[in-house]
Amino acid sequence: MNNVKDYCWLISQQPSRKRLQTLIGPSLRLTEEGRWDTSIRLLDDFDWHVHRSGQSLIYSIPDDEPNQGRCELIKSDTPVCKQDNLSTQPVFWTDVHGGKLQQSLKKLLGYSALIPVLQVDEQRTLLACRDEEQKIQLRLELIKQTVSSQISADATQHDRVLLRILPLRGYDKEATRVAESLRRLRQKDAELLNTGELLALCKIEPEAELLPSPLPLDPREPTGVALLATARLLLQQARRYEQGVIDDTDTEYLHQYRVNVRRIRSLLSLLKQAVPDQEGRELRQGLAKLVRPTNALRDMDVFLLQQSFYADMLPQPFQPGLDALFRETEQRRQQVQQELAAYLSSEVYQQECRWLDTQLKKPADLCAPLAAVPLRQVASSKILKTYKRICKLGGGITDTTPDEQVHDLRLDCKKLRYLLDFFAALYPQEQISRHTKALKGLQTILGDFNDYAVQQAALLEQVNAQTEPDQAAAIHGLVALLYQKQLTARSQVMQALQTFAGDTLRADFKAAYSLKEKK
Amino acid sequence: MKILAIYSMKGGVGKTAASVNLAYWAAASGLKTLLIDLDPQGASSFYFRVKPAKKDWGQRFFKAYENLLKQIRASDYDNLDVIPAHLSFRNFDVVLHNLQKRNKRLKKVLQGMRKEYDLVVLDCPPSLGNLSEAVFTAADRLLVPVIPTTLSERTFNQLLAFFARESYSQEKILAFFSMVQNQKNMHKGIQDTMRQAWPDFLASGIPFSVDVENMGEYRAPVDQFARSKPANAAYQSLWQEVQNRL
Repeated sequence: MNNVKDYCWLISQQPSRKRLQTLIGPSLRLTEEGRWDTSIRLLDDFDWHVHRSGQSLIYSIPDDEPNQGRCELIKSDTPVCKQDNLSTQPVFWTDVHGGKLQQSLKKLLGYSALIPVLQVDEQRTLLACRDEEQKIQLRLELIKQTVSSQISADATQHDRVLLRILPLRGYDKEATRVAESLRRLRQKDAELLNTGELLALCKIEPEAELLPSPLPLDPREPTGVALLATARLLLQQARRYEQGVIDDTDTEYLHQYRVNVRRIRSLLSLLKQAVPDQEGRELRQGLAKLVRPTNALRDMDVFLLQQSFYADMLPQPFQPGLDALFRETEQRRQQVQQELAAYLSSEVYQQECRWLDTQLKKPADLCAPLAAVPLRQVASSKILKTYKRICKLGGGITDTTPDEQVHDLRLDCKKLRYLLDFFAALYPQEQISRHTKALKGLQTILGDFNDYAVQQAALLEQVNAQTEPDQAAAIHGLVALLYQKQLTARSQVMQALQTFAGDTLRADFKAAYSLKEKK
Repeated sequence: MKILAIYSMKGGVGKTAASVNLAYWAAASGLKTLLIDLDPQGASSFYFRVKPAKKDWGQRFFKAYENLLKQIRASDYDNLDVIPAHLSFRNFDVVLHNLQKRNKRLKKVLQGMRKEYDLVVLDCPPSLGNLSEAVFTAADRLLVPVIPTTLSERTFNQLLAFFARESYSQEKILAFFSMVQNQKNMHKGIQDTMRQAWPDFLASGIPFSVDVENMGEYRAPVDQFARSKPANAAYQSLWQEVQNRL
């Protein structure tokens, strides 16, 4: 309804009504339209997915209506989607019921929990500027915000005052005039609730907490040096998730912890010859030791996260058995989680981490065969070699090839994916995206094929002589259905391979990662 | 977008009061509403404190909707904008007379408001000429205030006859009793007779009230200064009924 742009300024201090009236001049008279307080929380997950999407997630509660919470996704102060009448602050995307907001949060958060990042207490005063006939020509809004961090130990409260000038349609000239007369109050243009600005006020830097993407690499750096530096970064990132695993905030903390440790192990395996044999072996063993106690909990998490997928597959008569199975797993999970939390808090674990840290901080031993070779040379050679191996292995796969070979192919694809991820900074971004996209298609099918096999094995492991008959029936029913799904995925492998190992992509890979430098 | 015209060929029957209060309640119900004051006397613009444009733009009114967009003014209420009347609107019958397809001109020009508004309310001048016929063509509903008196009854029947003769759809017509004084036997009797003859009379009627007259003093819809009074409840109820029939 209003095509005229609002002004929103950060101002140094709250001006009195009298001061505003003086600045505006006698042709318009200020009257107060309303005054209200709101308590606002900025929410995000531990990995800042909302902030990284350029949006802010706001949970606000009017002071006079504590059960009327509103959750709103905004971009540059413009609402993208919202949900009203929430009685509690949402934690997972499922806590927002239906609608566009739920879909957006599902996409942004996945299994991650929302945590309050900042608390903003707002006091707003709305003023009308009226002409001699008492017609409102424009409105002013004074907003005092008290901002405090909810995630850092520093509980300092930061105050800021904003002035909004809200023009009315058809009265643009008056709004422009008033904006000019108030301009001396302006420090800078601002947004009401821009997560970036508010985080900076509380000295919180999400970018510094997260792993840089792509990993910072120098193509001429000796491979041994780059390997240790990257491993250090990844270990530091993995350890960032420890507290969330201990607190059991959500399942993503453990998942990301394991992903980052696994990335170090893969890097050490893929670039085996860049560190001396003995040292490499010890590091890989140390990392394996670190992650082993987490296996049981992750397996249970994966099973429990499949709850609705499994429930949807089975007909009603099997549901009670399935429900009992999930209840039992949930109970066992509590125990396993507590054990893991105790392990992560133990001195033994701390010692392991200190040892790994010391090893990774040692200067690189450049005697290992690939240690002194420039990184890009090693990266290109590894990528091309792995791609060619996939093509060769894939060429021998038919609908009747034993599953083992398909599993080998999957592992090689995974290696290539790691290589493309690790070395992304060394190549044009568009090239890495193109190759990753081509690989992803094949990986999805191979991943499904593997997941269905793993899920069947995991389910069958739960059956023993003591298993209740209804639970055993549910498990066997699921295994049969998963086996069918596995067969379907298997039948898609050949088709996907044809594209990935086709002449076009083959020539593309060769040109992109050939060791002869382009002029 | 719907177009609601408040029309009567008789003056002083409560058209402007109905336009102002119904537009106000429509906006309050969440509809993006534009009130166009077609009456050169500019009473509804006056009630919303919106001054007319200085320049004479009446000649351009029916040419392109962009001309109308430039004249839109926000009211003091959310969701409610106004195009104020201009004295030059008194020539609308002549302006339309000189245009081809004159009956469809208003409808066409208002189509340009579709992107921005859910409802356009037309406060019409009391006459029966080219402008009125353009309104009959453009409006989805023609809301006619009728004072339960013999003269008003006669005027309403003249309108029905005109619609029949000129082949306008009588289904567009919604009527309501305005300035009702139920303590008067004539008012009661005429309401009964007219409801029997024309079943499409709305159930809600607007009482004769000093609060409606006071709109001129307060220059605001009744809800802003006489919230708990019967006249305010009557307009609110009238809007709900009209909304269901739009």
